[in-house]
Amino acid sequence: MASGVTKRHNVEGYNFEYNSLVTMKLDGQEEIIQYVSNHNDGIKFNFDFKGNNVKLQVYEEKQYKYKHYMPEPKFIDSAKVI
Amino acid sequence: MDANKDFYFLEMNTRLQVEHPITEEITGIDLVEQQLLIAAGHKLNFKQEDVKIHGHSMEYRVYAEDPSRKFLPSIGFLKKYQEPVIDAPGKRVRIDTGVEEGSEISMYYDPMISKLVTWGKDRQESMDILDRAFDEYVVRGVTHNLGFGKSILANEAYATGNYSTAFIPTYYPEGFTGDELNDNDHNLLSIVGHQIKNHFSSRGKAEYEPSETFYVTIEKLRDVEALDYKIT
Repeated sequence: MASGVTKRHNVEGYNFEYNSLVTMKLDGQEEIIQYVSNHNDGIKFNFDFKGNNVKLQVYEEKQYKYKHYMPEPKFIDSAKVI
Repeated sequence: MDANKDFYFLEMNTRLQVEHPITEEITGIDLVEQQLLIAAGHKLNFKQEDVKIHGHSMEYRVYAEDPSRKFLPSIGFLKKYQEPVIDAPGKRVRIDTGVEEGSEISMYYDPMISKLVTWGKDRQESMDILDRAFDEYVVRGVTHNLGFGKSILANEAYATGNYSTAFIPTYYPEGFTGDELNDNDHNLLSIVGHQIKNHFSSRGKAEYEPSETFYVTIEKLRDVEALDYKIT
C-alpha cells in the first residue's frame, strides 16, 4: 500500500473490547491485536504490537484534508496553577 | 564425584524449582501434592520407572519489567489483567499467579506477574500455543515482558533450538525496543484502524453510513517512524 499497491481484504468476526483486545478474521486468518487506548478526538488509537507502542491516527477524507488546520491542543499543566 | 570418589555439592535446593510446572505438565504428577503428602508422613507412592514423559511443555515468566531498559522492574497497579484462555483439545495453557486485576506490583518483592505454562504434543505445538497466549494476555498499568517473549518465539535461532545462554546479548545487544514492523504488519494495523474508526464513529447513532475512504498514519512511538496509508 505504501508503494501505491491496492489490496482487497475480507474481514469477518470483528470484535472490540475496550482497553483489551481486538479480534477478527482477516482473509480467513485469526488476528488478535492488543488495543491499549484512544484519544477523545476519535482519531488517535494506541496499540501494543510486537513489543512496540504503536500510535494509529485514522482520518476520514475531510479530516485528513483539513488536519493541518487542526493543530493539537496545547497541554496545560493545571497542577502548577493556583 | 571425582576419580578418587570424593564428592562435592555444587548446589542443593531443598525446594521446588521455579520451573516445576514443566515437570508437572509432562509427567502429570502434582509435585506440591506429593510434598504435602510426604510432609504428612505418607510414603512416595511411585518409583522412578513409573514416571513417564508426555509431550512438551514451556514456561515463560511474565514480569513487570522493561526489556528496553535492561529489564528494570516496573511498579504500579494492574489496571487491567486478563489471562489467556485457550480451549482446544490436547492443548493446554496454565497460569500460576498470585495477582488479579487491581493488584499492586510493588518495589518490595520480585515483580513476577505469573508463570505462563503451555503444553503441546511437541515443541513446535507448545511454542504455537505460547505465541497465541502472548497475543491474548492483557496486562495494563505496568510495563511487562510479553512483547519480548513474542519476539523470542519469532527468532529463528530460538525456534530451531540453536541458541545458548548468550541469546539475549547476541540478539538484543541494545535491549528490546520492539520488533521491526513489516508491510504485512502495516497492512494489518491499517485495517484494524479502519475497523475501530467505524466502530467509534457509529456509536450512539441509529443509522451509520461508514466513510468509504480512510487515511491512516502509523507511528512507532519509540523510534518515531511514521507511515501514511490510504484505505478505501
